[in-house]
Amino acid sequence: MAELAVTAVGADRPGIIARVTGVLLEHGGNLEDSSMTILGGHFAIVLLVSTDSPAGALETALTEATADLGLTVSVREVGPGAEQGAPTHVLSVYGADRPGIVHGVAQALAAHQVNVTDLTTRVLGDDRPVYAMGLEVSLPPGMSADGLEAAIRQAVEGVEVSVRALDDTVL
Amino acid sequence: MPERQVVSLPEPVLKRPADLCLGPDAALAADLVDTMRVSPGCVGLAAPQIGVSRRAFCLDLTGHPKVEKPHGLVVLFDPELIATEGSEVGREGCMSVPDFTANVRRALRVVVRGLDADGVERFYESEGFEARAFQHELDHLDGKLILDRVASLKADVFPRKTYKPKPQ
Repeated sequence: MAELAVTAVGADRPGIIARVTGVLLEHGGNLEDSSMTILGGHFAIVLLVSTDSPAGALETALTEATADLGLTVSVREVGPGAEQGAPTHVLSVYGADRPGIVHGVAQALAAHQVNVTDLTTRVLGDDRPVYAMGLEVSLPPGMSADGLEAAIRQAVEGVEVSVRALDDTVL
Repeated sequence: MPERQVVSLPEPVLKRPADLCLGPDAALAADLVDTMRVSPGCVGLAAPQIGVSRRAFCLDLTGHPKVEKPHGLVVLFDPELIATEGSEVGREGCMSVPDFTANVRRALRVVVRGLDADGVERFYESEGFEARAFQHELDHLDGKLILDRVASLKADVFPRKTYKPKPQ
């Protein structure tokens, strides 16, 4: 059974998920993982589905079934994913909105072999907008939270940075 | 007593209100504590998590960085939450909900009453992460899991842990 990556984006309205997952179900698909959320008024779906249907056939079926919703749909076969470490730290970065904050932070992380497992961004406020990023990251062995904070401060001017370690306590 | 297997979702015992113990049970206490001790990172365990539908749990926050004054090892039978104060959102992980942590709102300070392993009534005043642990374990006795307590996914940091690709 192949694993397919499905993306679908369109103006938000009720019923998008029901329509998309209905088509997947008809094609014998099993949802392995998904992320679905609103991005600036557009509903964005990214999911992995395992199915025997070919990618092309599923893309055609999804496009036809969602024609009236105006979704942009793509389906591609994906190979095996990487074995991924659990996030070790949560990071927030925020500062006056300007182009390049995400890129600057991401480049600092990449230079230190820090793996991003999740990233969400928001623009807060209208008058003096603040750009806020929340990240979950996995630090390489030997790198400390303080080291990470210093690296980001050095790479990106004028942002606040805080790093919190995730503990692995369970109850 | 040997350690027991920790059960996880969708095991029905986790969703069922547990039965009263009506007195201490040394064998159950030993199983709970032994299982907690051998489980990595585990600082609290309730009887339903080892497949026993009884109102009992143990916890031990000794040495936990987020707990200032831990009570040490606590084992309680038929425990009850008798007072709470304040509230705070904080992160919790549960052995019975693997690969998942959630931000859950809990009281900051609690008073919990129950019988100890000798059948003596005990009162614990607890705060911070230990109070959170008490409330998490009490929830297990009512068939409630962190998945039933999550407030908001998008506003809370809500990570998945390790995602293991399936063998091809």
